[in-house]
Amino acid sequence: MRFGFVDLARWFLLGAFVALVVDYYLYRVGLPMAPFIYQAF
Amino acid sequence: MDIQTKVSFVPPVITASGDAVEKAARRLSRYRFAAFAAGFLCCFLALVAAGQHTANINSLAGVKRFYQQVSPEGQFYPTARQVWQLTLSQARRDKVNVIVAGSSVMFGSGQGPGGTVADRLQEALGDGYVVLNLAMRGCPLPGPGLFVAERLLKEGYPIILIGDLSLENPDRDQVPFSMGAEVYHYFYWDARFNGFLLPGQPREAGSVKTLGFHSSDKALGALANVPLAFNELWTALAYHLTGLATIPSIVTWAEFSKPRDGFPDEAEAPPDRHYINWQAEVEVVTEIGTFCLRTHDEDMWDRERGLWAAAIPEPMRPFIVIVNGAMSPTIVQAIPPDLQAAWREKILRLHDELVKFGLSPVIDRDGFDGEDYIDMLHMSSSGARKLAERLAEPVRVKARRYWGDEIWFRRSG
Repeated sequence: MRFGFVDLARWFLLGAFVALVVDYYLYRVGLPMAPFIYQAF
Repeated sequence: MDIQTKVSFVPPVITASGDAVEKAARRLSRYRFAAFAAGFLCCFLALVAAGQHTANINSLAGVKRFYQQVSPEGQFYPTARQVWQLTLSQARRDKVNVIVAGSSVMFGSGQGPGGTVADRLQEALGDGYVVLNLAMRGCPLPGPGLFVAERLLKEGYPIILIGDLSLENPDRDQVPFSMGAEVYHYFYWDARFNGFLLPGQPREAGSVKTLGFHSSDKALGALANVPLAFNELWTALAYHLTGLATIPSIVTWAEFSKPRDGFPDEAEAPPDRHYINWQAEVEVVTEIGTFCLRTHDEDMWDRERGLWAAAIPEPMRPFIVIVNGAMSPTIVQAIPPDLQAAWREKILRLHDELVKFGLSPVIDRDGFDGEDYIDMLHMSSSGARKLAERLAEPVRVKARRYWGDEIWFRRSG
């Protein structure tokens, strides 16, 4: 079976882009604090 | 996805049977998922590695003080590890490191580069001292300056801490200022999870939360940041590469994409900008005087002492010099005499309470005139020079008392 390199590369880049967004989201928005987590601190 | 790509993925068996097509499609989706996951992991790990690298170098090189565009006021949040690296780039083990902490009074609002209290203090103290300005506008004493000083103390650096402290007005429903303005709470958690803080302090106890101390909403993010270092990475990008790495603020709106290191430090306030809010400030000082006149109950002082005890670790107290009573005499003279007297009485009482608490307060009132201030609180360059001269002596006394022998020992190898 043949898989196109371009297609896989696109999926790879999409994963990389999502990682970038997640990292930026962590910086900009942070992690949610549910009440039980809040109590832990 | 374009047609060509789709075609390149159509397996030759597509015309054979439904089962084969389904199997091929499943395999295809597995490969695609693997490619996606690999891309995610590679990029995320690269970002973490870059963040960790950033956390271990001085990524804020060039910051002499945290002016608006490089402080939370401008949506720029220097992290504990970044401020630590900035401090380490200047701190010395064979000199006394004087950390200037606290609010805009200590930061040097109204004073230009080279003319701040910290700069004048460095001139007054001379070569045996390193003065670092870690104060930020609206920042309380338990902020970056105190937390970095705690880590310096833990790691054996000779330190003296200078800060300012204000009395709370219980009439106003506000977060206790001496416990930390909310915008700076992120730094507490960041410092705590990175091991900056002296252990076993009352501020870590659950009961302290009832005082409004360091709201926990930034805690989990700060904990995750220790291994992942996303805050260091994006803050450094915003500082060196583009302001787009953080969000625009009112102080960067016109040039929101400019890297934050491209903004100049704030200039000295020109004389025609002195006392521009005269009337409003007279009203504020009148309100403060009225508060001083009305409340002489011991409950207020109990509350203050409780806040200080929770906020300032006992082992740090001998090393702290506090500026007490910064207020333009011109403005104070504009309020009714009975309120002036009440305010002075309160400042003297505060002085006594701070001494009893174990800090060394310096009253910066006598000997100052209207020209030494640019508004009710902030000093002009002449005021900064006077305050620095006044602070130099207690700093020298503490340095001799607590670090004299140690520094002699280190210098003599």
